[in-house]
Amino acid sequence: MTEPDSTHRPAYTLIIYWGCTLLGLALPLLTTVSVDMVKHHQLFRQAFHQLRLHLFAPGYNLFLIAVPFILFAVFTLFHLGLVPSQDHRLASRRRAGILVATLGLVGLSTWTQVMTLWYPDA
Amino acid sequence: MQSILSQRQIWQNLGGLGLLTVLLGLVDWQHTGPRAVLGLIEDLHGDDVQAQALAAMHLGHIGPAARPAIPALLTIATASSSSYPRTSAAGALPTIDLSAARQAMAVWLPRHQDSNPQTRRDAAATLSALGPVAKPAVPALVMFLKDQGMGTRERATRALGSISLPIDAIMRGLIEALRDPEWTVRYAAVTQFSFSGFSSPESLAVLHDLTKDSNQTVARSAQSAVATAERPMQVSVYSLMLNQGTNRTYTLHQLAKLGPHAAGALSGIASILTAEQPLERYLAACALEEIGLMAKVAATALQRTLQDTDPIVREAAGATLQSIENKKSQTP
Repeated sequence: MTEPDSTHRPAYTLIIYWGCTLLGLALPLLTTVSVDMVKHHQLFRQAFHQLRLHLFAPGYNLFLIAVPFILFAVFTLFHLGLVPSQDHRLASRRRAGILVATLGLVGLSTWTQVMTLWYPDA
Repeated sequence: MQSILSQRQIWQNLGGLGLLTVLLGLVDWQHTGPRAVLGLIEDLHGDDVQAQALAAMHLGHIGPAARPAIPALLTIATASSSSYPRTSAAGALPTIDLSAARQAMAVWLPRHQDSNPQTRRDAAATLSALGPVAKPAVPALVMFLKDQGMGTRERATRALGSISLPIDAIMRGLIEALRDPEWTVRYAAVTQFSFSGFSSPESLAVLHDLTKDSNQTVARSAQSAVATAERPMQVSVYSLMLNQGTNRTYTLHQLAKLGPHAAGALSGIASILTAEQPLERYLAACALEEIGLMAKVAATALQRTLQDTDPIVREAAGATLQSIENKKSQTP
């Protein structure tokens, strides 16, 4: 059995770490623009203008949605980053676990945000 | 044993995250609070009505530090033909400057006699947005309740609920609206009792009758209003909210609606006469006036408020002291 190249492992950890952080920051912006375009039939330019207007308005703390993503990213950094480089079995189990958790977090957050914005009064 | 990431790599990435957080914090800091005022004034001068409305709401949130925006806000609150930016600008003025809010009120008040029904509806809606600072407009709004136009009566009812001071005149107006032949006006009046904390034995009797209203929406709301009146919020809860300092404007407004029943929170209300926000000081003086004779223990604090920097607060404190004196002389 061939072991995976250990040089790929830091890249995987760092992709999850920075991916989660940036996706957490961008997801509310992307869902807001997408829902405006699909539900309200706005052009991208109009949807982006709406986003800009609301970005720093009172009661619209869009960046706060990134907090769970950032906490998860920090957890990932330690959970994957501190695995002994020779322990391939432990590393692959943790990678799989983190991947499932990441997909679950992104899916749940996207679904919650879209459903909230899609609500008739929103 | 060597790990996938070295300690140094972990700390470098955490540092990068810290840097990104600081950068975003700086961007947020630059676009909120007093720093945002100039950009928001530009939005007020633009053509986009939604941008104007959001900018007005943002400025209202900033409070007295948004004073440079008063001329633009006044222009929109008194002259804009679009309802959304106009009511948003009117709603922002009281937290920024009470006198400016009164100026907007003075422009709209004579329009209740305008021959155009749309102007009368706009007047009622704008006075409603001004909230308790539009207290001197209450007699005119009560006149609106006799208007031929159903839309004007409905907006006037909502305006009375929004201003809610002085409580006696407001209650008389709302009870009149509960008996309106048009269901939308009755519904607007009932919702004031369901959600805004108004209650009196007379209104409760009318609300009981309305639980059998031919309109199901009114009947269901009346049932909700009766249920709300049967379990009113305790004054001690409002006292706690005052002590915690969260949303004091709302708390003081609710206490003022309780009238003499708010006497349990007297010391908390009196302490706000020296608060930083003029709107809070104004509402504290108004709440003391509604409490009546029992508020005489706060007379010394009210006397000091006669020297307040804000003329509207001084006026409210003077009216409260006068009201207490009148009630004293009527008591044997």
